Amino acid sequence: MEIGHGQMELTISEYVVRVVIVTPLERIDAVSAPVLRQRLHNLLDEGANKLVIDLSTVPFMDSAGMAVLVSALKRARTAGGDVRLVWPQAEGARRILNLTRLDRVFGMNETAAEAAKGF
Amino acid sequence: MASNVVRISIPATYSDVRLVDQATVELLASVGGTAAETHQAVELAVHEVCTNIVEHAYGEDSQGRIDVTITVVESPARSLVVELQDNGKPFDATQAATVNLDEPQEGGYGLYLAHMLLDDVQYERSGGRNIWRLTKIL
Repeated sequence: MEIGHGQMELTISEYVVRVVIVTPLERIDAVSAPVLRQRLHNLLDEGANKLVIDLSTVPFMDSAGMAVLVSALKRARTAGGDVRLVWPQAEGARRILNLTRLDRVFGMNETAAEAAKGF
Repeated sequence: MASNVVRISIPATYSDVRLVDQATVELLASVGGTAAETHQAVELAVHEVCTNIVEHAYGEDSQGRIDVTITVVESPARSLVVELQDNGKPFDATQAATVNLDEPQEGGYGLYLAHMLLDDVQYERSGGRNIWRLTKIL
C-alpha cells in the first residue's frame, strides 16, 4: 500500500519553562526590602517558581535584603522551583553574599541569560 | 587626638539610617587615605547596627532617636570610631540571633556582619542609654 507524501499522524505539544527575571534597580535594604518581598511573593502566589533575581545593578544590600532573598528561595524550592541570582557588580553587595555564604546556597551566575538557562 | 568629627541625630527610622551611612562614607572620603573596600565595609557595618537599633531598641516606637558621633582618630592607630546612642530597650545578648552559616536564614546576620567587617564592636548600657562603639582601623 502506498503512503502519500507529507502524511503522517502525529501530535505536537509545547513544554514551556517559565522563568521570571526580577531586576531591582536600587539598593535593597530595610526600606526597600518589604516592597521587594511583596513583589516576589506575588509572583510566587501566581505560580511562578523559577525566579532569577538580577542583582547586577544593585549598589547596596543589607541583611534585610538577604532575608527577602532567602524567603523567596524557600518558597520557590517548596514549590519545586528555585531562585538563581545574578552577581551584583558592586563589591559591597558581593561581599555580603560571601560573608553570609548565601553565594553557596543560591545558584549564582554572571548574567540573567545564564541564570535563566540554569533551570 | 581627634582630627575629624561628625555628629548627627536622626529619628530612628529605616530611611533615616541611610543618612548615617552617607555621613560615615562622606567623612571617610573627606579625610582620604582609605580604600573603597573600607568605605563599603564600614557603611554596611554601621548600617546593620543602626538598623538593629531601629528594629530592636525601639520596635514600634516611632519617636526614638539615634545620636551618632563619627570620628577619625589618628592615634594609637588611625581609626574610624562610630558611636551610636539610643534610649531604647537594652540589648540582650542572650536574645540575639545566632548565625548558622550552614543554613540560609531569614534574618539574624546583622551583628555577625558588624563583627566580621569591623575591628571592634563594643556595647554598654549607661545612664539608661544604649551605647554602641564601632571601630575600624584605617
